[in-house]
Amino acid sequence: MNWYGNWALFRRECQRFLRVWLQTLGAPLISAMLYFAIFGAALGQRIGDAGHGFSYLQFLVPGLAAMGIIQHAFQNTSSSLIQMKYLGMLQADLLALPLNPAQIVLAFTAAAMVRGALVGIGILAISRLFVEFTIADPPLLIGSALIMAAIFGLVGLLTGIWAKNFDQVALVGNFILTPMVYLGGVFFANSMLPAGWQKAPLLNPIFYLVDLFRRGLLGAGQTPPEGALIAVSLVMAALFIVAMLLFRLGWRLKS
Amino acid sequence: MTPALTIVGLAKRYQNGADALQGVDLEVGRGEFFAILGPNGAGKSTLINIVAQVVTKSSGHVTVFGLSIDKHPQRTRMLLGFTPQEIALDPFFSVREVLRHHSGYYGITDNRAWIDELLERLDLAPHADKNSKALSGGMRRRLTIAKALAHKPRLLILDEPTAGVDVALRHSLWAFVRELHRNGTTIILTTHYIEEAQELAERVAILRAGQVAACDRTNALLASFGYRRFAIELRAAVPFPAGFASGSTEAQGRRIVGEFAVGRGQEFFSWLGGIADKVVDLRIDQPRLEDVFLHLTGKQT
Repeated sequence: MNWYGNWALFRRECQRFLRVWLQTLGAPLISAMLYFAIFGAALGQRIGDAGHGFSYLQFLVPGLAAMGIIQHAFQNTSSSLIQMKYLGMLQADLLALPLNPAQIVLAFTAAAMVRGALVGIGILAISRLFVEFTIADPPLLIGSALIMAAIFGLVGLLTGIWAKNFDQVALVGNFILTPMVYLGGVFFANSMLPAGWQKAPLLNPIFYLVDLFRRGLLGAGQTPPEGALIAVSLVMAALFIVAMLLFRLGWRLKS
Repeated sequence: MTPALTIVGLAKRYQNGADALQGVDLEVGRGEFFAILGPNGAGKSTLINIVAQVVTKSSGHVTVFGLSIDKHPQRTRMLLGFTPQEIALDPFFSVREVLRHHSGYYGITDNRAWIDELLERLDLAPHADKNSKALSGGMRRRLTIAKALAHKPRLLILDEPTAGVDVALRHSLWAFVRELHRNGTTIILTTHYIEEAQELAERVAILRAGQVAACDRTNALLASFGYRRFAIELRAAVPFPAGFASGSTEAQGRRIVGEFAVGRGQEFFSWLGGIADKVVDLRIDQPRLEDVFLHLTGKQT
């Protein structure tokens, strides 16, 4: 098994986003700061308590970090793959390499997890300047962050495999991912919703990931964590297998 | 000893219904220098891309050094180096970084000495730290060849390696490829420059519409070729001879160029005898691979 080759592909995928760190790591930190400025200085006081004795800003911290992890894990894999398609690099720089489908998916997913983790850590660190909080459950925080990054790294990979151009990637990002993230408990607790709508977020898979992550940071969440952890792990495994099979088939990659 | 490459009954139908390959059989021995020629759309790139496993085949078998690409996809990829016809380079990295990454994919942890040699031999050393975006077309082409050689493959497959490379660099490139060949690397190339194939390749396959129209030693193809090109300069106009030759007259009939079938040489020479008093100059040329190619692909004039 060519494990060094696996490492080399992972290293390339990491170096790719590190080369343009201002855009891949700097931008999410700036937008997180803007959110804090808006909610902290302008709106936060009016929203009041977010449940379990946490202020709205404390509630918002894990939401923003989770959003950053999701969006940047997705972008890392989807942009890498669509760029390879666009530039014509797929043949010599991916398909001809002596790596099996599992190794390729692993390398791409791991790099997306690294970018997601760096963005998540950065947002939490910046948040600490604005809001007082301690980490309640570090293993759950790290575990849920990594699963979240892996899932959306894989979603990005599948999007990159499926998409024929940059527009189609943007389509998935703007019309599917962003609405799901915004409605997935990043900005509000279900109890803040009107009575008839409080159960609606339970249909959104992102809600469970964000809730797990929030429980890891604050020690309190809206759903029982055990079932959610099993469910998201299964989703991660299923996405990994689908991505692997698509690479094996060469769907939309090989003519 | 198992051949470097064995292809049996290879067929490829693309999703749009185009039959790029229709039952190709080929064998390339270890250490051979082999050229694949054919007009555009004959299936050369499809053939090479299937061997490199970047295009799927519809049916048939391909083995590389005795290993089936279906059963051993990773091991067979490891044995060959491949340059696609379209140049594409990672815009994030310098020339040296591209080569370092590429060595890594093949499991090579430290390849600095060989990378330096590749840069030197392919005239890329002065550009080693430039971003691949900043390279000229010829340099980009040479970098794709360096990538294919990063893991010292036993089988090197070059699809149109000299397109866009200027004459001087083409010579140094071929000198390097010849040296690799002398050191035991099996080389398969496709090229539009048929004179390059004639000069370099020991054996040639000519593809036509997805099938092998001819496959033989280059010398044998030339020796068995049944036509000779001729050019005759005349003092006075003579009409083009009918029947045994094809070609045309130029300069108001005072120059005749064309080719005649060797089997009908008697008719040609007796016609020539008849007009001998008008002949100023006569040339009959050795057959070139290009002539064989043009006849087999139905494009002779």
